[in-house]
Amino acid sequence: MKPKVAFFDFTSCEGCQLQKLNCEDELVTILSAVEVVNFREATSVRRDDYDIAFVEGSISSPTCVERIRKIRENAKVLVAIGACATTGGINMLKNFRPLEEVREYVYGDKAGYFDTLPVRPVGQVVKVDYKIHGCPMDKQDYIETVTALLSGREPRLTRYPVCVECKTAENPCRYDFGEICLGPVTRAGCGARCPSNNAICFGCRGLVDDPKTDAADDVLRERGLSVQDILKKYRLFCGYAEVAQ
Amino acid sequence: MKEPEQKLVVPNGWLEALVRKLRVQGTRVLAPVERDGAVDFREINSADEMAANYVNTRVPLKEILFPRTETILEFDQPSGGDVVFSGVEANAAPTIVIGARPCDLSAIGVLDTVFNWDYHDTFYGQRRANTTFVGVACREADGNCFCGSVAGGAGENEGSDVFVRPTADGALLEIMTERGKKLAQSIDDAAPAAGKEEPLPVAATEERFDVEKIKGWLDDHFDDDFWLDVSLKCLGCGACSYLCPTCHCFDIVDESDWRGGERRRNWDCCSFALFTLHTSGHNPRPDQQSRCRNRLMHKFKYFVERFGRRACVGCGRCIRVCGAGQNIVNVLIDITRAEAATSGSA
Repeated sequence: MKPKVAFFDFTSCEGCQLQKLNCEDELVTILSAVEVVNFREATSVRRDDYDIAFVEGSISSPTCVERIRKIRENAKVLVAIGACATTGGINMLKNFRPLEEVREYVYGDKAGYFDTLPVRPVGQVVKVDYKIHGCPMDKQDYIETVTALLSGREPRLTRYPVCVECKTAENPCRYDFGEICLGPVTRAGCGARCPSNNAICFGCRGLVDDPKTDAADDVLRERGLSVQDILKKYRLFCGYAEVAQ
Repeated sequence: MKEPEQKLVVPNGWLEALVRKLRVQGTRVLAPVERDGAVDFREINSADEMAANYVNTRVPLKEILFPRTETILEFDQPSGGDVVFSGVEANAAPTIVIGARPCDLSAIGVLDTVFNWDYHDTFYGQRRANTTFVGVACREADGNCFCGSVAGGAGENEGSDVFVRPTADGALLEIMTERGKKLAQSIDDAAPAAGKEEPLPVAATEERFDVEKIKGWLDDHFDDDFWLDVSLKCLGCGACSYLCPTCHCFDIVDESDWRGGERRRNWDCCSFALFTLHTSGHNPRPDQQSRCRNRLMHKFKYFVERFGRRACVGCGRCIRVCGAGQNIVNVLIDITRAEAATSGSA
C-alpha cells in the first residue's frame, strides 16, 4: 500500500510548496510511490487519513496552534519544510516589535478582527520528526527526505557550516570582498547557492548545530567588523537564535 | 634526496616537444593551468597552456589519484527481486603529470602508505600505476611554504618519476623510477649528464622550527588547554583537510532511491562533528577542541608511530585557505617553544 501524504501551509509565502511542484523530473516517480490526500495548491482532494504531513509556514495565531495540533494528531510523521516552519524564518522579524503595533500596521482599523501571537517555528508548538531547511526549501533536500522516508532510512541532515560547501565549490570568500556572510555559522545543505552566485549567505537554513562563534568573531574582527554588524543580518532568518535577541 | 637512476641534460624547448609527442600518442597530460586567477592541474594539449609562474596549485596533486567524489559500486533492485550489485571500474587512463611540486610528491608517499596498508585500494592503485609524475624544483616559495621545516625542501626529488632541475639553457632531468625511464624514451635531444651541470638555485625555505621536538611534546599533552586555544580559531569548514595533500579520510555513502543507486566515497574531514559520531549517538570527539587536536596528532604523532613518517609536507595550503587565519606554522612553533620550556625545567 502506498503511504498517504498531505501538505499544509501556515504563515508563509507558500513558495516551498511551489518548489515541490517544481520537481518536474521527479514528480511522476514520487507520485507513483505515494498517494496525495491533501494538498491545497495541487488537488481538490481533502482527507485527513495521512501518514506523512509536510508542513510549511510558521505558527503565528491561535488558529494556527489549533490546526497544527490537529495535524500532529493525524500524522504518523510530521516534516517541517522551509525556513518559516523550521526556524520561524523572516516572519520572526515581527517578534522584535510590539505585537499591537505590528497588527495595526498590517490590518489597519480591522486589527481587532485578527488575533495574533509571537511567531514560532512548528517545532516549538508540536513535535517535528524531520526538518527540510531553507528559504525556499531545497529541492534536492526534499527529494532526499522523501526518498529516505520511502526507503525506510534516516534522511541525511548536514551538520557542518555553509563554508564547507562553499570551499568545495571553489568560491572566493565573501569576506575577502569586505562583505558580511553568514556562511561560517549557517547549516549547509544548499550547496552554498548564494555565495556561488556572488551573494552573501543570508543564513536561511538556520544556525549550524555547533556554530564556532569564537572563530566567526575572529573573522569579523580581522576585517574591522563588529558583532553588531552581523547581528542585523542574523535577524533576517535567525531571529530565533539567542544571539540575535 | 635520493640518488637518481639516471641523469640527463636537455636543451630549452624539450618540454614543448615532449608534450606534443605525448598528445600525438593520445596520452593524457595534466599540468598547472591558470584559470580565473587560480592555478590547478588540468588537461593540456600544448606546453603553452601551462602557468608561467606559480608557487603551487590550489588543489593538491592528491585529487588526481584520489578524487573528491568517486562511485565505487552500483546496485539495483528490480521490483520484488534480489538486490543486484555491479562493480565499477576505476577511471585510470594512462596519465603524465607535469610540473608537480616536491611537497605534493612527497605527500603521494603518505597516500601510498595509507591506501596499501592493510587493504590494497584498487581505485587508487590502478591510477597510481598508470600515472607518471614529473616533478620540478621550486625556484620560488611564498611566506606560507614551510617544506624546509618538515620535509626535504624545494629541491627534493623523492616521489618524482622524473625530477626537473632547470638550468640556464635547459634542464637537468633526474630519472628516478622505471616509469620515469619509460617516459624518458619520449624525450628528444636528451644527453647523459656530464656531472658539470649547474641547476638554477632553488627557493630558500629556512627551518622555522625544530620538527623533531614536536612529537615528544604531543606524547605528553593529550589533555592540555593548548588545544582549546587552537580550536577557538577553527570554523570547522574543512577547507584545510580538503586542500591538504596528505589528508586521505573519506566517507562512504549510498546515493539511492528505493529502487537502486550507487555507492560513493567522498572526501571527509576530521573537523566535522559527524566524522566520529557513532550510531548510538555517542561522539568520542564531542567538541572542536578534540577534533583540532586529532588533526595535529594524526599528522605529527599517530602517523609517525604507525608508519614511521609525518603526514605534513609543508605545502602551506591550509594557511592560505583558512578564512579565520589559522596558521599551522605558528601552532607548531608554539609547540616547540612549549617543549623547550618543559625540557628546560626538567
